[in-house]
Amino acid sequence: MALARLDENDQYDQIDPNWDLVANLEAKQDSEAMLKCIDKLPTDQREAIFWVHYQEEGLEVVAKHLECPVGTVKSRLFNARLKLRDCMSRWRKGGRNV
Amino acid sequence: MSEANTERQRFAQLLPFYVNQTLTAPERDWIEVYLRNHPEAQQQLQFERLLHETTQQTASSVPESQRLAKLLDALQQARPKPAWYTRWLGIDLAQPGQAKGYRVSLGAPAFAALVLVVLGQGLWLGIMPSAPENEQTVYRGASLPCQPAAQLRVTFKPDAKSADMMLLLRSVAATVAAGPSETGDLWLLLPKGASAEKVLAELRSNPLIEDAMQVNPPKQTPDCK
Repeated sequence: MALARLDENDQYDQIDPNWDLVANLEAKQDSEAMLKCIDKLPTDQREAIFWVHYQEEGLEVVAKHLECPVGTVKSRLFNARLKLRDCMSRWRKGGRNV
Repeated sequence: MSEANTERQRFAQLLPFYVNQTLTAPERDWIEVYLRNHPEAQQQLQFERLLHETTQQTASSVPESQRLAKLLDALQQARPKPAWYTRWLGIDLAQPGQAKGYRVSLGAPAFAALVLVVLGQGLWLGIMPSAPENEQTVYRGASLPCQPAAQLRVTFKPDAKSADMMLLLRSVAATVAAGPSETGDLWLLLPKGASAEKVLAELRSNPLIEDAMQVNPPKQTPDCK
């Protein structure tokens, strides 16, 4: 009995008091929306995002992988971000049809 | 204004690499100073972090073995297919002297044997091309030299002097194409546009000429105009 109570207390101790259900849900939804938005990007921009954010490579390395100048990598990332922001803002406005 | 734009542009360019932590120390410091001075840029940073985290959480639901098999298939399909002769004979015409390892051991000897059989049977049955029928066939590829097309044949009288003959020919603008023959005949060429009948009449009326007649020019090759 005492052991059971101890376990119960431990479980409560593990829960983060700052954990916010709504914020967490929103973050998860944002993440899903972001994935959908990334899928809609042109291939060259998706490739740039893959190397920068998934492989976590530096600018020169990404340029080498993509076989293009560093300026092109920068512009692809810039244009990708513009499209993603647009896509995400439409989703947040209640569209869900990004 | 322009400086602010440049700073904003630099911030936008460096931000992805700030988030993935590949910036150099001075660049990272610059970004942090910029963020302190521009609180509104925090929103961009949050957006970039969301993008980074989302990308990092991306995981395929397909097992790795299946993904590798799919990738291998895609690579094999993307590889250019060898030509039929390369597959069967192992000979790559693009790289002569290098046999490909497709079906070298079977294809090449089989093809050689087939060629030998066909040639042998052809010779035996006499269906192979025999000796050429005439000289023209042999030298079909060589073009014949162009022959000047003589238009007139004239026979001078035996007592005509060569100087008189030359003067006469010059007066009608004729040139000697061939001759003289055993009987003293000359074949003459006329300039382009000259009337053969007119020259013939002029020559016939000359006392030095015994006989003059028009001849058919020999058949020329298509190259000779």
